[in-house]
Order: sequence, then structure tokens, then C-alpha cells
Amino acid sequence: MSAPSAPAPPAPAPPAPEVLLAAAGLEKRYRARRSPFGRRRAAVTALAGVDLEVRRGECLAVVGESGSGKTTLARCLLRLVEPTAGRVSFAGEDLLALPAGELRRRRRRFQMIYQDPYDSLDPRQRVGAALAEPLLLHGREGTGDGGRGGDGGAGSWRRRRLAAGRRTVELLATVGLAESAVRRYPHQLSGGQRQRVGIARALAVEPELLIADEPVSALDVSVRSQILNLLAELQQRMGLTLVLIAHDLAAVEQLADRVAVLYLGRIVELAPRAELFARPLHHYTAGLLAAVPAVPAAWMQAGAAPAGPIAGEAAPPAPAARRHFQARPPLAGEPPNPAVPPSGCPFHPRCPAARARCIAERPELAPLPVPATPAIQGTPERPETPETPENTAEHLVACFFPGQQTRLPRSEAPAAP
Amino acid sequence: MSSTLLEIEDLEVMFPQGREKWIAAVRGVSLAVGRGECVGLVGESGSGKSLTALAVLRLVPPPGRVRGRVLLAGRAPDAAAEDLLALPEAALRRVRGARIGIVFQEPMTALNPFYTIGFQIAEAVAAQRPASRRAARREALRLLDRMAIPDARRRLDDYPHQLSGGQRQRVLLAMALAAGPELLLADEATTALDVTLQAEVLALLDELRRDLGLAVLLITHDLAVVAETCERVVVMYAGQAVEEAAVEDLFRSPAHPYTRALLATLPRLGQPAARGRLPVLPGQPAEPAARPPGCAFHPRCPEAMPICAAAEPPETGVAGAPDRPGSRRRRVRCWLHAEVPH
Repeated sequence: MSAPSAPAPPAPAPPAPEVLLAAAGLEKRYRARRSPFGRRRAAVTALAGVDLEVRRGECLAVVGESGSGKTTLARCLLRLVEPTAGRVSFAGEDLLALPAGELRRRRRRFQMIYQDPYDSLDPRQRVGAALAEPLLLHGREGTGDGGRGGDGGAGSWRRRRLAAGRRTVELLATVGLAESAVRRYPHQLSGGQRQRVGIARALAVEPELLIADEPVSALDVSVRSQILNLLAELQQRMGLTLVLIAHDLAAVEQLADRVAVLYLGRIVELAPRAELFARPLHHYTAGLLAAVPAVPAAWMQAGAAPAGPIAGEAAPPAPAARRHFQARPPLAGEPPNPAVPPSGCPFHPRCPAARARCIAERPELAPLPVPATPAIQGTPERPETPETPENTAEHLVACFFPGQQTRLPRSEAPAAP
Repeated sequence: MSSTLLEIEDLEVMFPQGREKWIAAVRGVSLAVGRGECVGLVGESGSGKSLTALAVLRLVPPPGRVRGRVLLAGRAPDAAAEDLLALPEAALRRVRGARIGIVFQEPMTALNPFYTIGFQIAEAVAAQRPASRRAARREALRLLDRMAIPDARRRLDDYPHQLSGGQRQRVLLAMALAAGPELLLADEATTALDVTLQAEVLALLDELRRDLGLAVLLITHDLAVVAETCERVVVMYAGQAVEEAAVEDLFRSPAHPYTRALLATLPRLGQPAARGRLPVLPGQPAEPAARPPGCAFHPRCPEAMPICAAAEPPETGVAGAPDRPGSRRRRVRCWLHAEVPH
């Protein structure tokens, strides 16, 4: 086990990256309970066997629609809910085997950021108190003028409180908030400011790992970039390891080193960021990319150089620009009910390339055989990434026909299940 | 462009602060929506875009006050337009739902959890014209089918909590469209949805527009959504319309520095900025109660001049590309484009 206080610098790709957090065969089933009217309900499998490694210093993004199990995954990884099966280890230590008291002490090292801190902050607690609480709880208020907290004796509590107050102001500065925020209540802050408080609270105990569950989905587009930049800066400065959870691939492109795509409780594709965006191999990933609303590239090239005072005059006539959204194939339907998962590949009912085999068997997550498979056509325009051997070795996909053309002759199309 | 359906003139929405003072949350907004046209209303939280939509149907919560004119063209092409703000309450009820439908962001709070969705849609149907329960239910089924809800017949007897977020949003759309309105006000109707569902709902809106000639006022903070669905855009800042342009003009040659800043912060899929270097719009949006003097955007504006802090810029016309539809209606509220007085 590595020393907890020695955060590694965010190395781009060391030969053998240290695994900070690892999950193996992680499953979570929510048990069937009789409904109030005595009807039997089916058990819901939220996670159906996830293997995942988070390397120290990296940012791993987990992406999927509502109901894909991404929040359950986050909670199981931090043992906020008990997984039904599987193992989770943090810095080499089995988290699931730890007794409650030990686990509580360990929690300092991994923290969570929530979607809307308005729900996770106490509305009657001022920001200062909300930040001081974890500091005092974990004895992390730092040295005031006396030694570390917890040395006992009269006045020590007051000293600790004072030290915590000073640290609180530091924390606020770290996340770009003014000292005056200490006296504010959550409702007096804007959404972006509240998210900054949520981040400050998670950082208060100097964790090694941060799991951010949809940290920007509730924010205005214009504030999103600020929060994403802040996370990037903090990650770099503090050597943090970051797990970023989102439903939108656009929200993670900025930060992620690697991206895992989750569908119905399983990872269906896992790849380095640039590789995944340039060459999505699972048809679900391609569908997610196509769903991101986009401005036609031709419009933005002109917009990049803002026109002068008499704007608009020089704009050339439009070359019959079809809207992206009218041209692309939409991802049909919704995720199936996890209580009744489809047979075979869980994605086959929505998959444009599904064949008979996909209904009968479930593909495992595996690296692609070399030579690499071509990317799925018809996804938004994006630059090519150079193909290198490590790109393909790191690119895992759970699909029998990865990256294949989506239009099939009728005879080959699967019959309705 | 086709004939004008809705014309908002000099709309003001004010809320009292203390005993005497009134704060304007919407300050003199004018905009028009043509028949079958999709107009985007874009702005950050607190820019007044939702209040503008609420004011159209006189749904601004008390003690808010609304001033200005909201002209809705008659059903017949040559009928006179009527001012919704001057209409008696009873006459207004024949406009709400029947001629103008509205969809809000939160599908869970807008549906009644105690009634089946079939009942709620049928209620919306029967509210505007007498219909037997059977007929109303049949119409509800047809609407659900139209909204591409799978297995619609069984869904009629479901309660809101049994549906997914995307399905609930489509149920709300079905209710808003139950009486066959000519205009739909969609207030952040896709913001709470997953990107995949958002794409589906937007595609559905587009289809309805083409099939039924439905006009849409799409309120959103996401310019990428606007780019995909709208023909014209109005950008709001601090309660004012600061720029209006045909959608392509707006993206190709934004005239207002605020619009340019919004465009610069738009993430582009597949071309990520360097880590931690996403372009950001510095500062906080102006609050109605603490509105900066002059142009409300000047404290955040990279091109601010002395006059910007001193006087409010007038609205000026800007030349659009003449060969593009809708281009002629191009306005901007910025001193960069106005004659500076001496």
C-alpha cells in the first residue's frame, strides 16, 4: 500500500500505472419486495458485474443514460451502498471487508461531489459551518497555533474551531469563492457557487480520490466550463484521482483520460478519451455521441472570428447546410427495464447492427483483435486520431460486430424478440 | 417568413421590492413568432426568459406585474389580433391551451401523481371542447401514439411515477397539444432529460412543426439546441433582448459581445480545448435588483467603452445576409453598433 500523504503527480502514461481503486465483478441487485397491494415485483439488477480500474492521478469518466447504473456504481465504489457481489479495493485494501469504524476513517481519502449541492447542503447551515464540519470530524483543521487537533485539554476545542475557520477561508479561496461566502446560506448562492461549495467540502479532508456524480448537469452552459476548469486545475494541483460521472459525453470530453460507457449495469466500451471520441466502436457509444446537440461546423468557423461592427454583411450564402440533427440516425427507444433485461447483448433491441447472435449470446468486454476495426460511420465530424498499438490495446468493447456498418439488408436483420 | 402569429411588444415584468420600489425582471422585450416558425429564446438563469413566456399567458405569479402588449393574431388570416394582456379572464381561458400550449421543465411537478396519465390527457382534451369520456380517452390515446410512446394503450392507465422522464415529458407535450394549439411555449422542456431523450423530444417537436404547422417558442440556455431546431434566435441578458437574428447569422457573425462570449464557451464535440482551458465567461450574470447602470453587460464585456457604463444602448438594426430567410429582422442592443451621442 502506498503512503496516503504522497500523491503522485498526474503522469500521462507511466509504464505500469498504479491502480488506486479497483472493482472486480461488482454487482448490485435491489431485492424484490412485495408492493403494498401484494403484487410481486421483480428484482432489479442495477450493476451486473463491473470490472474497473481507476489509476492514480487519472480522470476516468463513466457515461450512460438514466438507469444505466452509473450512480449505483459510484455508491458501490465508495461503499455507500453494499454491493451484492464482487470486490472493491482502494489502494490495495479490500474496502468491503473493513469494519465500520475503519471504513469511516478511510472515508477521508475518498470523497464525493453531487449533482446539485442544493440537495446535499443543509439549508440551515451557513457555508462556513458546512465546511468546518468535515474538518473537525476528521481532525483535518490543520495546525492553528497549537499542535494538531485532538490533543485534549481546556481551550483545545476552541483552538481547533479557530483553526478550522482559517482553513475554511483557504478552502473557499481554493475553489474561487470570496471569504464573505462563509456567512452565506446555500439559498443565497447561485448554482455555480453552490457547486463550488460542494467541491470545497469534498476537498476539505484532502482526499486522494474524488467521485463527481453529474457535477455540471444542473448548471447553466456558461457556468459549466468554469466548474470543469476548476476540477481540472484542482486535479492537477493536488494530484487528485477523479471519477467523473455524466450522461453526456460532451461534459466529460474536457477532463477524461479514459471513458467507460455503461449500459444496463455493464461496461460496454472502455477506451482512452481521444480514441473513444474518434473511433467509437460500440453502437451505443456512437448513438450517445450522435445525440449531443451540435452547431453545424460551418457556422462556427465563421463565428470563431467575430465580425466587426457591421456584422453579417460578409457572411457567404449557406451551402445548403442540413442540420446535423435531421441528418443523423437517432438512438431509437429507451433503455429497457432493468428488471427484465433483454437476452444476449443488452443493447440488441435498440442496436442498428444487431444480428441473430446478439440475441442469443452476450458479448464480453475485450480488447479488439488487431488490425483495428473501422469506426462507426455517421457520427459527428471529428478529427482522426493517429492509430497506435497502445490505442487498440486499451480500447475494450463488448460487441460481436464492433464498428460495423449499421444499415443491414432486411434478410439479415434480427426478428423481433 | 409566414405571417406573424404572436407579437410581444415592449413587455415588462416587475416585482415589488419593499414598499415603494419595483424591480423589472423583464425590461421592454419585443419579439415575434411567425406561424409555423420556431424561435429560440436564449439566456442564462435569471435573464427573464421564463418570465417572458409566463407573461404571454398571464401566468406571472403575484405580486408580479406585467406591462406591454402581447398580440395574438386571429385564427382566420384576416381577423384582427387581440392583446392577451387586455383580455378578460374568461376570454383568456379560451386562449390558454386552445391556441397556446405550454410545457415546463419539470415533468414530475407538472403532472398530478394521483391520476393516471390517460385521465390527465383526457381532461386537457375535454377542457377545450365538449367530449364524452370515451371520445376524450380515444383522443388521449391518439395523442400518446403521436408522441411515439411505446404501448400507448397500456400506458394510458399508468400513473406518472411509472413512466420514465422522457415519457413524462412527452405526456406533458401531449397535454399541451391536446386542444390543437397554434403555438407551443417550451420552457426548458428538454433540459432535465438525458441527451438521448432530448434528441428524441427535439426531433418530435420538429416533426409536429412540419406536420401541424405548430409554431414554437423554445426557451433554453443551450445554444447548441437552438442551432438544431430554431429558425430565429433572441438572446436575452438581464431582462432585455440584446440580439435577434436568423439562427445561421447569429452563429456565423454574432453582433453582441455577449452572444460572442456565449458562442466561445460552447463546447465542441471532438475538439476539446486544452485541459482546464475551456473558455469561460467571466463574472456573474447581472441580477435584476443590482442592475449595473448603462448596458447591463458592461462589467463583463471585453469591449466595453466609457459610454457603456453611462448610458443604455439603443436597439439598432444590423444588416443581415439579404438572401437568407429571416435575415432582415436583425437587431442588436450594443453601443458598438449604435451612433454614440456627443
